[in-house]
Amino acid sequence: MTGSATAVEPRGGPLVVARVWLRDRPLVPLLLLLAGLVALLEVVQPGIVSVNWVASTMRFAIPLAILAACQTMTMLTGGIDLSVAVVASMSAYVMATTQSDIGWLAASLVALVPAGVVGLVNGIGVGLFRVHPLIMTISMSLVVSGAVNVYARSNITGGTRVPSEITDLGGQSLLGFLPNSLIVFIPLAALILVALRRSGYGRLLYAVGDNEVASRLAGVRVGRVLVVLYLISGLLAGFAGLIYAGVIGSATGRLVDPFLLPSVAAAVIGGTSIFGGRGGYAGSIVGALILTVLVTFLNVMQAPEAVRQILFGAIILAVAATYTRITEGS
Amino acid sequence: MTAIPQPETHATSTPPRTAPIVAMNDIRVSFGGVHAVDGVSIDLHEGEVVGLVGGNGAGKSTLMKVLSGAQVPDSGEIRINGQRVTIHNPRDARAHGIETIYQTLALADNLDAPSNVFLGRELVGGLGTLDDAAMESATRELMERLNPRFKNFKAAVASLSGGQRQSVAIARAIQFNAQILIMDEPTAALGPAETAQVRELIRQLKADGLGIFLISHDIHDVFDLSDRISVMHQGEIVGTVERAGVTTDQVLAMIILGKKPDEVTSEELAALH
Repeated sequence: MTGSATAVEPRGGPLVVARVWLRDRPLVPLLLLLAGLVALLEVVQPGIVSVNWVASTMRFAIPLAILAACQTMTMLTGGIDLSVAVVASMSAYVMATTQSDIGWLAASLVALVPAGVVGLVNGIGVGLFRVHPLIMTISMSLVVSGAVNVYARSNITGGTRVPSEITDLGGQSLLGFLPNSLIVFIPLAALILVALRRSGYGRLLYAVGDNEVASRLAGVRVGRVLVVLYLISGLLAGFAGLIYAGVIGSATGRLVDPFLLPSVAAAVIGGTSIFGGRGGYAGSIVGALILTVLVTFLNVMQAPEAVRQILFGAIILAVAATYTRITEGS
Repeated sequence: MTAIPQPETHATSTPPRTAPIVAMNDIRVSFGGVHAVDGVSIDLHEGEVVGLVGGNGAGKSTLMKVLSGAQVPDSGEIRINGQRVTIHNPRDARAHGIETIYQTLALADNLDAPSNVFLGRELVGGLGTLDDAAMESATRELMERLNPRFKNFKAAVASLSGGQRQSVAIARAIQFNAQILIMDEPTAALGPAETAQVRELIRQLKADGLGIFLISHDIHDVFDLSDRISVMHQGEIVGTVERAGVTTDQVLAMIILGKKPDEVTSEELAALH
């Protein structure tokens, strides 16, 4: 009776063995897909894949990967943070409008304050008042959009400029191929990876998403875990906005808004379950790279915007569905 | 192992009458106008299993939720080892050595056994990182005692059998030296072999000196394991009887009619058959 229903042994044909092998190594198919896309891009547009292109792809992928971190962590608990794009835009805009008065560093820090406040409000709504994360964060993104509009109108004289320190960080590369933003992204990504896998808090995110009632009954302060989570998500979103302003070199109140779907898609493609409890950040980083390469790919095909949108959506769906099938347990 | 009641010696059926480790006095819980628990008093001694039976809605689960901190009573007193305590949430209960095994097997399915055993109180090493090795070895040690055949320490508990999952739930409960265990339908989700395994576990915990409240619909479970049986009916205790002094029919009559054995007329008893 004991020992009978143990982990499934690989049995059957080579296809089954391959599936089991892939299930235990979820990053492999993603990396293969990424390599395939890059190869395809080189076939379609010979010569495009260069050291420069790699650097530029990474520069665009890094802010997306940071936003994907917000989605990954909230999705692990069974939630989602749909305010990240608007919050990122807000932080970029606040930084760009205040930097002439207080300098780039202070402006960047000031810009993170409203991002943290929005995250905290999300966290209180989701964690303490039990508002569904979807409703909570969509509502908050409306509130934030409106607030940014009001702020923009009161700020006609100021003008926006992204300071050179920020554009250096976001838009320049070391030795021509290492984006400067890697200096902040590598430690950040390492911290998130380690925290999710090796910290008690990280384990609680998985546990809450897996079985919130069980966590609560086991004595986990679920509300507190969620408040902290959405606060972190807001701050990361604000940070991503600053980096992206550096990539683009300018900032408007809607700068990062188009990144909302890609941020969710990167996490989903990366194997994080939207139902909570399963996934991780490594996949989301690769997911962000895949989406960035995909955008380039659709651009060089010179298809009309409408066709690109259709393809982008369809490909995300196809990849997410296929990947989920590959990595799903028995 | 079957459900046939086994001959028991007198010594095991009557625990030593020391001071109770749990005494709940005049507990009342109402939901709106419904008195779910209406002035119930119940106690539990070291090394004793008290079976708590009653029909659906009799109030047994609500009563136990009061003890486990999942339900705050409207009034009443709880004493643990003679000390008056207040229990507002599961953490308070845990602080008093009270652990609950829930009917629904409250486990995080995608986590492995050690992670579930230490859920919410993970062991951390230097730098605040999780000490998975320590959690695993502590879990192995526990399982050695609880269920020596348990080997799947790395697999997500979703892939374990019902009996193994119950072992994990029980291991979590006793990991932090629980004195008092509340088991809500511990065998409801299990097959016959696994039920036997869990019964064996309960006997072992009892032998280790834990006091156990056993909520069960299965009258055989209750008769097989309990020292005393408390019957609830419509929010009140009908009576608490020594297991050795009653028959299953008498207890069934208490559950259904809500009367003590000596109050039941022979016609009423006959009508049950």
